[in-house]
Amino acid sequence: MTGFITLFTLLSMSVVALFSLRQSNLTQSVVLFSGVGLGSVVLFFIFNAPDVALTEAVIGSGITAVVLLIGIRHMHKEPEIEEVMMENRRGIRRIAIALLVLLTLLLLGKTLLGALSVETSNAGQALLEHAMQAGAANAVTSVVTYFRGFDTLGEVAVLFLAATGVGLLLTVEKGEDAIYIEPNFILRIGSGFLFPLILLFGLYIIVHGHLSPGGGFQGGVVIAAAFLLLFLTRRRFGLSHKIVTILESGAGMAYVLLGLTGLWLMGLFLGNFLPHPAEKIGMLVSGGIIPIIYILIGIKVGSEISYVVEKLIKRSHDV
Amino acid sequence: MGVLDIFGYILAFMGSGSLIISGLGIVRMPDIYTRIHAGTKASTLGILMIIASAACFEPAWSFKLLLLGAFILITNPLSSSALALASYKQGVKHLETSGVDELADKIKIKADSKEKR
Repeated sequence: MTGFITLFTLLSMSVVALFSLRQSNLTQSVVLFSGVGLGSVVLFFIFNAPDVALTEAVIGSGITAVVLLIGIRHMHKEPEIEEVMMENRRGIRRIAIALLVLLTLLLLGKTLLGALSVETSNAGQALLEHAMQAGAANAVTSVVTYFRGFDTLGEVAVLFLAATGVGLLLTVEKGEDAIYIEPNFILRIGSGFLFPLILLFGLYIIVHGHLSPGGGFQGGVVIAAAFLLLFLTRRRFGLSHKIVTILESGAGMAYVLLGLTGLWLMGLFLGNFLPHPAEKIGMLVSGGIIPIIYILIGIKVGSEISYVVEKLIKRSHDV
Repeated sequence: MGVLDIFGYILAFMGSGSLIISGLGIVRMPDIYTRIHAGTKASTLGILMIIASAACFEPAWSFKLLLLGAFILITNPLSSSALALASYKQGVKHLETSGVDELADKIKIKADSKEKR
């Protein structure tokens, strides 16, 4: 059954991707591209990676599509770029189609082989057995924030660099917003109802990161999506720079300080110095420092991605 | 099998029926506005019914399911209305037989006032 769903998803993903490449209208191609993202959400879920599926659902088929659409709108303002694109596109398209066909064949071959063999090995199950040691019910979380906590610190730093780069490139001078679509009245009112619900969902995912799929990265991205909704529907809405800076750098510093405290108390960077008894696994307050780390990551990711989205949307005309 | 379970089965059955009708409507309806109409109303009702049936099977989840229902009750009509208005502004024609176009005057008035500014 799983093999069939996988095959079907892979096939429809390839078909949608081909259609997306062959579109002459860039907007339609972006919409189809987010359809490919939706397919990969299903694939991630089938292969026991609900955490990645959550991220892909928000980033791959949500925020990326919006960012690409904003990019297209910017492009249409400068017709020269469009012409160059049209010249190059035919060649790029051929290469892309060739790559896509190759990738599809590889994936199909691998899936068919996987469907034939009795049971594919499952790294998640093996890790689950070690989850007791870390004190988190979600094995992925115990890897991300405990066994590989140092790597996660690096990843968060990379994200910070990316946000800084976007901020440097797209500095807003006080002017009119380049991207603004007169919102539907119903949408404007409805977004007011929706915003707290999405925020609540993001916070839930962050706080339950050590118990259920999801965590700091996923929840932070969901929170950024909530702010994206406000940027799209309200002309005057803007983030307070001071608050974003304080949240972002404060969370980063707290992460490093937690790691150093672990080094001091346990002799191990990011050592779990808070009590994390094995019998408490599965409860909200458990896992020692793991939930604290994930909440910090959530704050950091949420503020960074919201900042990037704001920078991309509120670019002024003449920069 | 308790009373709640039977109620849940009935709700799930009705909900999936409504979703089937919605899917059928998206395929069979003649133009984009009627398709959006079919895809929104019937599917919102269907999903809400299925959520209610899930609450009947697992009463402990009812609060989360209630939030989920509220979320769907808001997002589904909102996204559809945004889609419909966007396609109207792009100039997608509706069927001749649909009757009066009440939005035509309003949109025109809005465009005029913008030009004056």
